[in-house]
Amino acid sequence: MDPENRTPLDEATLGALYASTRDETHTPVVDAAIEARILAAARTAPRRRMRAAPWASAAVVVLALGVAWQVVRVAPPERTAPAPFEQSATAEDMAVSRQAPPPPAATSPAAPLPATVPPAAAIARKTTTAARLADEAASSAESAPAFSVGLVAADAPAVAGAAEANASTDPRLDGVRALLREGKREEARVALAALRARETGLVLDAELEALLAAPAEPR
Amino acid sequence: MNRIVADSASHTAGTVHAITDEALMHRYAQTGEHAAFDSLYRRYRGSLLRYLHRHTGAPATADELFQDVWLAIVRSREGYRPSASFRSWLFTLAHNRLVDHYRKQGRVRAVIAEPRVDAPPPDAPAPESATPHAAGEQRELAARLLQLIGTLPQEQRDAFLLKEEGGFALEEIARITGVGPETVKSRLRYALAKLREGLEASHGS
Repeated sequence: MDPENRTPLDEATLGALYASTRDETHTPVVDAAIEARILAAARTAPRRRMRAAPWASAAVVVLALGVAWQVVRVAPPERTAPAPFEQSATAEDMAVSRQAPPPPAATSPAAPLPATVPPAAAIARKTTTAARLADEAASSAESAPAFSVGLVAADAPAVAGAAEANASTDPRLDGVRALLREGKREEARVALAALRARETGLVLDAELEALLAAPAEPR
Repeated sequence: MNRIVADSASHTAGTVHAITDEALMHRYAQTGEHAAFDSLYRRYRGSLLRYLHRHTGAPATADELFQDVWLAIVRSREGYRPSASFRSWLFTLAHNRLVDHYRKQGRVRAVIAEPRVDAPPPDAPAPESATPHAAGEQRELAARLLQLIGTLPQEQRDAFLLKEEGGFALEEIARITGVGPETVKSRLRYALAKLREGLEASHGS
């Protein structure tokens, strides 16, 4: 070529010259086997697994957290030191225990009796012979109501009023009187002592007072 | 060996198409629709194969790398995000395969032997607008250009081919090759200077 007629080889000319190499003359060819392998791999590739929606995942997490919270709440871990609120509760309980006991029903018939048996009396009822005897005395009296704590507490106002009116008609003492009638004086005395320790508002007549004041008989 | 001529029209990938590359790849990744993959393959098989052939200068190696790249696309399709350019992803994979290949060969900065240039078939038609003499000279120049590309240092050849075959801008080439834009600019400048010098020398001879 005549050097005078040459196109200067700038970047654009080089680019155009390179573009001419993309024709069939200079373009490489793809091996048919390779192409078939590529396309077959694309067709046989396993499909993507379906994924759960994000909101479903979040719901599962929230549900799991809720279940975990319930488990923790139902079965809290053992602690060696009491929690602060437990300490305050204990102090409050102590303050309550220092309060004066309610007045006896004999002086104020309308005042409600404690619904629960004092702990010391309850322990005595379970552990001492006197309690057992008192239970037997109560159960042996046909006219006496059930000698249970719940009934005593429920019927306490009415019983206290009756005792004040006539001590001899107090049904809580029927068991003791029955033992006396059977000649079991010592057992009656022990039962009366236990009954007096457990119940409030008992009014004893002279016979029962004497029985209670009598020294214990040797067994 | 039965070979399929890579369509030169695939170079125009990225121009107007009914469906974008990214949408096709997303469809293939999500549903396994192989027709979407086929479309992508036909869009890019020519440019990718030329990139690899002219980079390595060894048809067998280029074919092997070509297959590796497309199989990597198939395997890692779930990792593809539509926000990333498919073309950029494809050529990044190809670039990384080439780097691995050169490392295996122990040719980190080797100068590759002149690539094979397919001889024009005897009955290849000349462009209608050109005279037979001009067409012959154009083919001769193109063949010489390909030879010169094969003599470029690896990094300069890489930058030049990514620009011409991938159609990437400086920043994209920098991202694919993991260097700064200024480095890419410098490599391209050196590559163009060498090519120009080689072509002018052959012209003058």
